[in-house]
Amino acid sequence: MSEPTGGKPPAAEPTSAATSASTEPLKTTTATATPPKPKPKGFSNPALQMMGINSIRLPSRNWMIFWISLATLSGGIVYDKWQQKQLRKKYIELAKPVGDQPFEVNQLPRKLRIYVVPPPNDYLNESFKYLRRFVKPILNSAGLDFDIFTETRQGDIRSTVAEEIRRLRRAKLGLPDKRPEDLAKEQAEAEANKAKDGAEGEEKKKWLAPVSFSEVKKPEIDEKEEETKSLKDLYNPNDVLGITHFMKEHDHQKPFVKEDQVVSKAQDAGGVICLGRGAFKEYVNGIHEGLLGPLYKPEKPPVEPKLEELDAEKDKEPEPNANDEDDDDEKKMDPVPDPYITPKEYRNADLAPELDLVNGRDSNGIPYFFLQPIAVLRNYNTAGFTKQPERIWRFYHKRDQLIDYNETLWGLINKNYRGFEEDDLQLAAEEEHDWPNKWVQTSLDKGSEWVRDFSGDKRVFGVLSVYQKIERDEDQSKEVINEVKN
Amino acid sequence: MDQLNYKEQQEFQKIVEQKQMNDFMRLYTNLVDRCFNDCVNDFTSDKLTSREETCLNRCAEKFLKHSERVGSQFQEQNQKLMDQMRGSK
Repeated sequence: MSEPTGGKPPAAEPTSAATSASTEPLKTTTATATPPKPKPKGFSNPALQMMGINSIRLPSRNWMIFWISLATLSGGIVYDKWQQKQLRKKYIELAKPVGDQPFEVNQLPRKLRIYVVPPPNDYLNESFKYLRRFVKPILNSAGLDFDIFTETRQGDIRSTVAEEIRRLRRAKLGLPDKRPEDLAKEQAEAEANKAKDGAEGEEKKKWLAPVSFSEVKKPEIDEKEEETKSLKDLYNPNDVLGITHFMKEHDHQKPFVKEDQVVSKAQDAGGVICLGRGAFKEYVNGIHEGLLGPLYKPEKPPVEPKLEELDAEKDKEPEPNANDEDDDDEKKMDPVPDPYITPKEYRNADLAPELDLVNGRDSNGIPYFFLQPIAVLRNYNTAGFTKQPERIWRFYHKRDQLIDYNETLWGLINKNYRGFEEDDLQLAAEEEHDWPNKWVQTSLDKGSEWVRDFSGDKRVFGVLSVYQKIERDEDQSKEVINEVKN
Repeated sequence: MDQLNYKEQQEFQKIVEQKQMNDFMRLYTNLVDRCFNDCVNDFTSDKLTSREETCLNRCAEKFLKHSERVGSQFQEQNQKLMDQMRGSK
């Protein structure tokens, strides 16, 4: 049976089929002509016939298979995306009351830190995708500010966190950032480098010039009035804005006050989000290293004997005879610094005697970042042949990831924290099932950070805290939204 | 390049004050324009209704607060840039 209009909706078909039936004879290919199948009659009623639709028929079996499979596959995606939109809208509505609180002109909101790591065998963009889709809308609606810290190779976050803590400790004691011997060495290297890229450096800096008044034409200098003052000391660019005039009149000029500064308990300030199990591990390890480890790099690297060969190469810093532009060439980054202290030595170390670990504040008056509670979000990213069904399930159920993230974030927004416990080391441990076995094997052979034994010191646990999930059920959320509207 | 002696300082002060006044007038005109467009739409009477009065009050306050806030953020960003410049030198 010829059906030239297979793709058109059924209403159009009967007309063309009727004409084709009348004009073309039915094709038969066999000699012994089997009686051709009669066309199924299709549905009709007098009202439709009056309109000119003589019969409504379903398409053939093959087309049905095609359309039904297409509809299920795309329908699943469309439903999931639609649900995500609805949920996101709901979560934004729920967070809005927090974000709509009025602020004075000189007040700044609460500031979080977000540590993002790429999932194993994948790129940072994957984690950022979910950060953008699921985390940022909620945080933006709640009016929370955040700083994002990332890494592309293991160990960066740990070393930067540890270095920050060490810097705080050194600042408390008034010690310089590097030991005097190291300082002298570096100065010598810097002199050598400066001679080479002097001209280039100056050009680059010209493009970074901020608004400044140094372009004003000067009249001839009179010999008598030699007393000069720098422009920068006298004025700043804001003096030209009309609003400054208004503020002077009304005596409005006030310095910025951050919400985190006026908090009484250190745990009420800010917050840290670790996006990924690797980020959480590195963060906790970095805190241990910073609080328990030495203030300066130890002379001999404290590594386990069997890994010494691999790490000995890492310790040699690349000499500046790699003179090609170090900033441009990514592959020539300095290697990740080794931990200054290993987990085995935690027990014997002192817990940062210089710092006030209950209510310590840094130079801005904000409680130390490691006193702020931690929220852990897991990465959803798996690969491998046996994991494909799981991946397909996740592809059609991305909304579950959104719900999971929101529960933790809601706990963060409402400051639902409690002290860190030993079991909290297992937060987001389910993500490790996602990690490909081969990758884990190579990591174990290399001794990479994410697969090492993850343990901690009880004293440090006493300092840290964690945000707990708040699981809302549907009815509660509806009530809250209605309350907010009325 | 940017060291000024006493005479130059006087001149510069004048210039800066003039610019500030300029910008202040511009701010005022923007404020009036904005608040009028947003608050007053009904010309059946030549008196300001109480509704329009409250709207104008709020408009003026918010506009000035907004300008203040933008000004201080601008200053902060500029400060950061200056520190960066100085740091890199």
